[in-house]
Amino acid sequence: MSIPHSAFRTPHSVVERSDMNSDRSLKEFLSEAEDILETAGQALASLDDEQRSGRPDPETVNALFRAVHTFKGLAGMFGFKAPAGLSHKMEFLLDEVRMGKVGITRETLDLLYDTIALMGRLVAQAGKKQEPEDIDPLIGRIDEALLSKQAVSVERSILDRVDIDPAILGVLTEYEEHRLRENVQEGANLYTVKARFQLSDFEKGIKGLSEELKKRGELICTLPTAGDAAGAIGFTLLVGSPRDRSAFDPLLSAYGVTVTPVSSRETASAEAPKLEAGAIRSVSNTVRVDIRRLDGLMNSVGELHLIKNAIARLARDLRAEHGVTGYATSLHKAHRNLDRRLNELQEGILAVRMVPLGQIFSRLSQAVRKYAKDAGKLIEIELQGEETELDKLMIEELADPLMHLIRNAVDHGIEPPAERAARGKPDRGMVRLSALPKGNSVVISVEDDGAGISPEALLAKAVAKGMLPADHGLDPATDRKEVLDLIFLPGFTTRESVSEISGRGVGMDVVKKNIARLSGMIDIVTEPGNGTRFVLTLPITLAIIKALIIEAGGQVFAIPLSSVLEILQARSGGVETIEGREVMAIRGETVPLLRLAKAFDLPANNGREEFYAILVGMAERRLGIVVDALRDQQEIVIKPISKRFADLPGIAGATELGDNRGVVLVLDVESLVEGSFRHTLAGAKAS
Amino acid sequence: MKNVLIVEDSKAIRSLIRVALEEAGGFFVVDVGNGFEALRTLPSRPFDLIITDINMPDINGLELIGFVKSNDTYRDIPLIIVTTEKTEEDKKRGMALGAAAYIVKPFKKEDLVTTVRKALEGR
Repeated sequence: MSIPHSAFRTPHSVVERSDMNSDRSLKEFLSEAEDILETAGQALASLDDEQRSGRPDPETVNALFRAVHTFKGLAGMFGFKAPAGLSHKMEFLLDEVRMGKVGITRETLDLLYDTIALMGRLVAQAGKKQEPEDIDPLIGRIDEALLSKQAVSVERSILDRVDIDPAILGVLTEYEEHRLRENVQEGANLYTVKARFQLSDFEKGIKGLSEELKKRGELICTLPTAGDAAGAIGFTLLVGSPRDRSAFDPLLSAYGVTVTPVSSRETASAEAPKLEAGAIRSVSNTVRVDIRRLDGLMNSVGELHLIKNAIARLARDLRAEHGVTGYATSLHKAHRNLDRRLNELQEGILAVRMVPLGQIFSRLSQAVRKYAKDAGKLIEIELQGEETELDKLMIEELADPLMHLIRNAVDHGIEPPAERAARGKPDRGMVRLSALPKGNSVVISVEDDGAGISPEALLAKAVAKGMLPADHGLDPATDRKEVLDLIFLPGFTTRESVSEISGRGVGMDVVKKNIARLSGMIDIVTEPGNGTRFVLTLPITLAIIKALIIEAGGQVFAIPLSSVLEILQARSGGVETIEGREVMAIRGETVPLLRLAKAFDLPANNGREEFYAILVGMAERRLGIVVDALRDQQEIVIKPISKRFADLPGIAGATELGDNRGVVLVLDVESLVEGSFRHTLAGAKAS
Repeated sequence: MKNVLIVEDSKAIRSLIRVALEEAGGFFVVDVGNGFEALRTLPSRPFDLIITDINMPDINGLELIGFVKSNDTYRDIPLIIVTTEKTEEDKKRGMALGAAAYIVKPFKKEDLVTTVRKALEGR
């Protein structure tokens, strides 16, 4: 039943004048138009942030497009020509942006800001029944921006390479199809996720699932399907992700979904480019490798380590049973050779993953210039150790926390020129970004020569905010470390007014959490009047780490060796109790103890006279973890654990040990030390 | 009375369509703001017609049409796409999926009513 469409294409509008004169109708328009512009403004601010950190999210661009699209339809239906005309032009520009034909540059963003501001004014003018202002100058600017449009050469046939369900392909919008193509082009893995929910409450499920999928990649399409039973509804989702299929494992049980990789139709013969004789050879001898391939190789190395360890145990058993005889010795030697070669292989793969920090430093120094300009401050940026190398994936994850620290330095650290002059400092403030390799770690610091942080002010603030009781018993001079660490508590900010630069709702607690996720530590050194330095210590890679395998309360755990300072054999006699906490004197320093079995509610082994204390520490804070037995040291690959345990404090992930010990939990030393610190604070509150 | 479901994320446009149909007479109108709500509402009454926008968050108009057309219970309900000249390509895809008609924003009330009545012919 098709209808001759042209009959209904009405180029002009709309709502009859009589409707428009009704105030109710105008009010409806105004309130919705304002809501949409608010949404558009938020999307633009996010896009701005993402552009600064070098990773604009297609989803954000599309949200902005959608808002402007809705605005246009609304203004058109209500007969407001100026807002409709302007939003029409902006929609056009945004469509080119989301299709990758116009780049997201500073100029584009500024233009979008100006357009949204004008749309806001036009709405206000409509509300007051005033003549709308002239939109032509801005239309001209948008036309100019559109001149930068580039043809994007994505092979249309690229989708033939993948075997996607035709039912999905049929419902993709033009934009979704573009995103799918981009994903295929970039070599992302595609997955079909099938879910089934009860119709009565499917929204919570599908929204939660969508959020989880977005954490792992890009959600390209959500197609509802008939449920297999009455009262049920199904969904088929298409996801593009750089991650392995295993990254979706936690969703299998949490949402009862199936995740199927979309298979590739690629065949070697179809793909091989036909080279003519004498084709130009590349002069470069480098190759670009997808980091996921390296992840795959590293996983294999991890598995090989497990096999190597099994061989080591065999060799040990053989020697124990038969003595140092021919076979036992040969096996032992073979194992040692395997160990050496395996380490070479591992180092080789790690070396390929390493990229210099300079990549992100130059991005950050641009940001400093921009922030300094916005804040009306004169700032010199100094970079040191740009050649220091770190795992590519870690570098990407570091961009946001470093950006935040830099914003803080520019905004809260460096004083305005007049104030600096009054303090006898040079007009120009200094922000120094430096990196230094240190064994298997890298130390990155963000330093400024600004006002510094006053422990007294921090303490007063914490009390005022109700984070500490008035009789907290902390002394700004002697408990300096604990006091400075207050800055990392959620909801802590030292300024009453939130500035444009750092006041975007992200606090130092988020920075700390991000660093902790990378198994790193963050520390503050500050001197009021002279400046602040944030010091980040990070492992060079998370792909594979050395761990100490221990036992407590009948359970086996792994502790990342990078956090272990020392292992002590101690006697119960050396343990004292201060304010309800067990502590021990280690080389003149009082260190709090944490009984691991007790911390995880496992059967305790208190009666024992001798025990092991594993001294771990971050910065100046120490903790002795009390365990029942030490097993060995091992290379481990940390795997994420299911959602149910993900927020459990003290656990960083799980790993496989390869013998009968099976899967064991890896301790998150940072949060254990943190927990013990909280306990001390709570003790201070209670006493 | 014909049961009509409107799926459109703009509240003001939704109410314009509803008022236009109610004034024309003979329609019982249910309007929702997104595709999820549409999925929840579909089983609630025997709808004779669905009017849907294309550009919506979560699930868009095409995905909704794909669902309706592949579902034994709903496949015979005619769909009208509300579109703009910008989404020409998506309109074509919607028609290919089996939509009965489309109407381009901004439209006149009487054109909307005519389109709706034609789509309902024979039901």
